[in-house]
Amino acid sequence: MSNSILNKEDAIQSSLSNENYFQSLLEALYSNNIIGDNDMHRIQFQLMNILTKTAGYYTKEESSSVREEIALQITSSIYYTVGLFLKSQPDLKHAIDMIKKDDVDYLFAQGEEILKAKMDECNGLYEKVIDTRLKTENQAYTDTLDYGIPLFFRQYDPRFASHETPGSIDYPLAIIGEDLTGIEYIEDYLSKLLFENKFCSFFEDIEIDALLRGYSQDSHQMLINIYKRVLTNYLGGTLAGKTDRSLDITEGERTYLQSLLKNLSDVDFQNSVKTAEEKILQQFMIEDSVKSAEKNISQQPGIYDNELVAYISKTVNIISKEIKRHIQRDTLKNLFITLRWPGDEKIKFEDGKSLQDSAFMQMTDEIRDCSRVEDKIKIIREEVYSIKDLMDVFTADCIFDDEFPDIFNILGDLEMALLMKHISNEIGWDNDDEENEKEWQIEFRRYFEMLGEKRRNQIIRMSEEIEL
Amino acid sequence: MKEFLVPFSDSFLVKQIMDDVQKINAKTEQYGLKLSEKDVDMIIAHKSASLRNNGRVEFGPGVITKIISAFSDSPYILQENYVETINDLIETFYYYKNETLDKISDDALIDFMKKSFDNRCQGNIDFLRHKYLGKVAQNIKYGKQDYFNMDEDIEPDNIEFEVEDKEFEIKNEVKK
Repeated sequence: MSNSILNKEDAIQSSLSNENYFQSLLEALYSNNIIGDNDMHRIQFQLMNILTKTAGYYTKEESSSVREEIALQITSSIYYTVGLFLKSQPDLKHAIDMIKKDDVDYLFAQGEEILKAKMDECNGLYEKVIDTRLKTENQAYTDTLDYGIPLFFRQYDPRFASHETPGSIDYPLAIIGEDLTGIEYIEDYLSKLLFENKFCSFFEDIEIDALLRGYSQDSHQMLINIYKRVLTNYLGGTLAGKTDRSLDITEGERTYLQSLLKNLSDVDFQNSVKTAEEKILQQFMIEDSVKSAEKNISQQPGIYDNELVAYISKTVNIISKEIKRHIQRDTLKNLFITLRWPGDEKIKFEDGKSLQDSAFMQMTDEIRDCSRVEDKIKIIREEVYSIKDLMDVFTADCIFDDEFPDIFNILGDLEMALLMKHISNEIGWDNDDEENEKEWQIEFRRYFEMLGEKRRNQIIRMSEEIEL
Repeated sequence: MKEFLVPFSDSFLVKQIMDDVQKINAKTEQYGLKLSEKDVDMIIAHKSASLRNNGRVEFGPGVITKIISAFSDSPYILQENYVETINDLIETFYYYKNETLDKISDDALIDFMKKSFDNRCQGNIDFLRHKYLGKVAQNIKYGKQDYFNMDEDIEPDNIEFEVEDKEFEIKNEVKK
């Protein structure tokens, strides 16, 4: 008998909505015959009395009627407020007992008290979030903190619209609270944002900034979660065996991670991630207590830290699935990011105007007719205005192999860097497979190797800075 | 959820309102005006329909007795048109609660309706709706503070009136 009640409670619990808790609970109790018609009528009548009273406050007792949408809004607000109190009960059994035994007025009044306490708590949480805020240019992050959340506090109406979530909260968290509205939404949002800030505070702001730049040049305008990017790279570094606090992941480390993880079974992969997560948590918790002691902050060990640990674990779980996916597609470079420092900005190259097809063909015919390389160079100098045309000339069978060095000789560092960039993008600069290379590319590589080291380095640096 | 928006059943209201109406009847019988329980039933049913038509929800006994009490001494209400006029006034009242964006209290709106009905409109409820209440609604929508001010009055235009009257009826017919 008691087992069947327990099973019933479990079934009810799973059918409850976070957003419409009281309504869903009433529906579940009624359909499971836990409350009958008499209880339902009593509850409806008491709710109507609260609605009448609240509508009176709304109209300042100056109107006996309101528009339907206002009545619905106030009704939803009352349900939400009662739901807050019922949710605060230690278990579902207590909540059901209260619905059966207590007047809805009492449940509503208690809900209002909880609402007030939550608002105070959220104001405190917001202050903590501001105290720990990241020094970032990410617009969604700064706008949400400076404008969106204060707007919530200004516009939130606990009396007539406690279930609504005003404000402008755009910055995405790593883990979104499902099915929450009103003060519960903002409480969940601020608590998680505080965890995220706290985790990120263990890294240098400039390094986080370099990580975001590495992720995308436009990262400051993107709706990305900073904490998740930080944790992803840190997890990647830990998986690669790094023990320092750096967030950077180099090309070599990515290659190592790809070869390390791609052949692991699911179980071994999960174990590797779990071990890395434990290392991070251990380091984080140790440093957390040291940092707190240094700052003489009396932390509440246990609850606060346990919640943070749980949040990190959940995020790692999400990240591990992403790692798996990127390994399968061999796209780890999009997940484990190489930092880009402010001086590393790329130069956007816009190529010159290409010749029309007929003009281009005429020019290559002229070049082909030249017997001396000097004459060929003269035509190229006078008629080629784009790198694309230059590369097309190289493949138009109008230049002999031994003439390439003389032509490369007239190119400046920027042209050399551009050709290098094209080769890197097309087949990879370090590619040894000459079969897939075009003649001019082989000749260019040979010519390049003969240059002095200083000039070579200069061209390499320029090539890295160019974005085609 | 929606069923919770029906505050009190009509039968519950009849008794409450009938008690008040009997007191009003005692005063108006001298003018030959009296509402029976059947009349009150009809008025309450009409009020419920008007609320639905205008998308409003009322709490408690509402404005029925206020409207009856305010208009019962009007020289333009006779026993033969008593119920019909009260019904028209109730419909008009809720319509203009919406049109005036809930900016006017029940008492102030009833007071304006009564004064206009008895004086400028001389008992013509169409004049009241379209000319005077329409003007108040317009004033409110244009943000005028002194929205009851009828100084910038417009001469009644019968053609325009008929058109507006049709619109009012069609609008409410559609809602029904």
